[in-house]
Amino acid sequence: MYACKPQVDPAILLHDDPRAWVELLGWGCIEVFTSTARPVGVKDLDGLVKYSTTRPGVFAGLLRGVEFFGKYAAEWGGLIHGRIYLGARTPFPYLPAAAERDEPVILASPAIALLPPDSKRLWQKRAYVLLRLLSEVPVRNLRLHLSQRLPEEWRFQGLSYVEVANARCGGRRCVLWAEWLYWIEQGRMPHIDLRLGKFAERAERDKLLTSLAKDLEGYWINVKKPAASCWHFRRAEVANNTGGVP
Amino acid sequence: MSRGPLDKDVGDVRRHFRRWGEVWFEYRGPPPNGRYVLKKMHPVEAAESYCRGAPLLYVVTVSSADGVERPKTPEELDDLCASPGVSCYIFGDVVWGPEAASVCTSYVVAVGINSLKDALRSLVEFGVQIRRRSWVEFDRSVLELAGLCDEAPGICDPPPPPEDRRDAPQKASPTPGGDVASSVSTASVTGEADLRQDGAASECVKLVARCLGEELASRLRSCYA
Repeated sequence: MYACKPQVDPAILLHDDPRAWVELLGWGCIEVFTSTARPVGVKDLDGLVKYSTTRPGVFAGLLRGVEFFGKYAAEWGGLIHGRIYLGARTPFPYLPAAAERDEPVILASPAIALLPPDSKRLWQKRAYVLLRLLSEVPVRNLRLHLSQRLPEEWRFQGLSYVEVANARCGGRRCVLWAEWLYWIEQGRMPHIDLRLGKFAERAERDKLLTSLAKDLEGYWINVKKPAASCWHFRRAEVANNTGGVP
Repeated sequence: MSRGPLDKDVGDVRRHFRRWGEVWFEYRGPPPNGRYVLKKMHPVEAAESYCRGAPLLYVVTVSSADGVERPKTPEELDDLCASPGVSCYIFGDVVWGPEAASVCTSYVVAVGINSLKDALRSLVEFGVQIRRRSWVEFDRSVLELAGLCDEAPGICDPPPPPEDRRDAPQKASPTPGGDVASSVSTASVTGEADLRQDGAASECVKLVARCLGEELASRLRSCYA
């Protein structure tokens, strides 16, 4: 009864688009999630998406007891035990750096919001710049709080997301920051939007990414498959974040 | 020699949880698998000194949206907590495990409360009112699930953005070369707020002036502005 075979990684829980839930999670998983979240007043898909996107850490804690199958089972199983892949999931293409900043230096994708709200230590290590804005990891409405407090120079106004990803934040590519920026501005996860062909382009250069998305059809199946153990996570993350940086 | 738990403590538990649900049964033995509502618990190394004379007391609340059949034995309770759709939350001072089991004994009170929200509220209320625990010691996702974040927003939501403090003194200080448009906009947003209105900061400056001298206090003031 409480089994589910998702066709997408757990970052969908931050994705504020019920259609993507239907398409990638399927009604089977949605029904399971709705019934596990019924004690907190969730009745339908819209309520489920709203609860999950505003309180991702709390919602992920409710999924204990659900059994996951399929390609993404390891990652979902890890989530229940408080582990998640924190690297970037969007394959931003390489471009010459358009801007250089000292800040924000960030070492985690928005998926860190799926961890229990008491994982402040991890935020201190991985997302210190955001914690400095917030001074406490909020249990709910993280996106709202961030959008209110984000400094103007961190928004990279006038640049496309691809250019943001290739800018340098403290010497590294800002790939993770581009994901945060997309999530804060659009409320959806960029890699899921890209997979569904719904990527919201910010400027001209983003067409590069959407045109590449078709060639990356196999990428979703073959490359992105982090295992559920911490060591594997770290190895995949290092390879993803620093590999190939010029 | 291990004596029983203090009658007064167990009496408190029974009396408290009878108001919220049904006290199913009590037994000597380990608590079932479940989530602890406390975030900061006593370390296992301290368990021995903590449980000297009396077993550790655990309260388990079982709740399910569909309603559950009342278990009769600890084994049935264990199975119930492992089954999906049933949420078991535990209040206890030490995380039960092999280490704690080697030095202490435990006494468990199982309570059935239909609604998850009520179950968590009862546990938090028990912890705060009877065990004298502070709000901040509870797991924050538990507070959110219990619907207590709306009543105590300081715990779940971060404090308001620090712009009020940062921008207002800029407006107060006479800087004719400053950006007029930005100072006007921040003034309209933040209103009158400076060191005098920030009670904690002015207290701090006073303290510095008294203890460390006026020079340091004036440096602190200029840093604040």
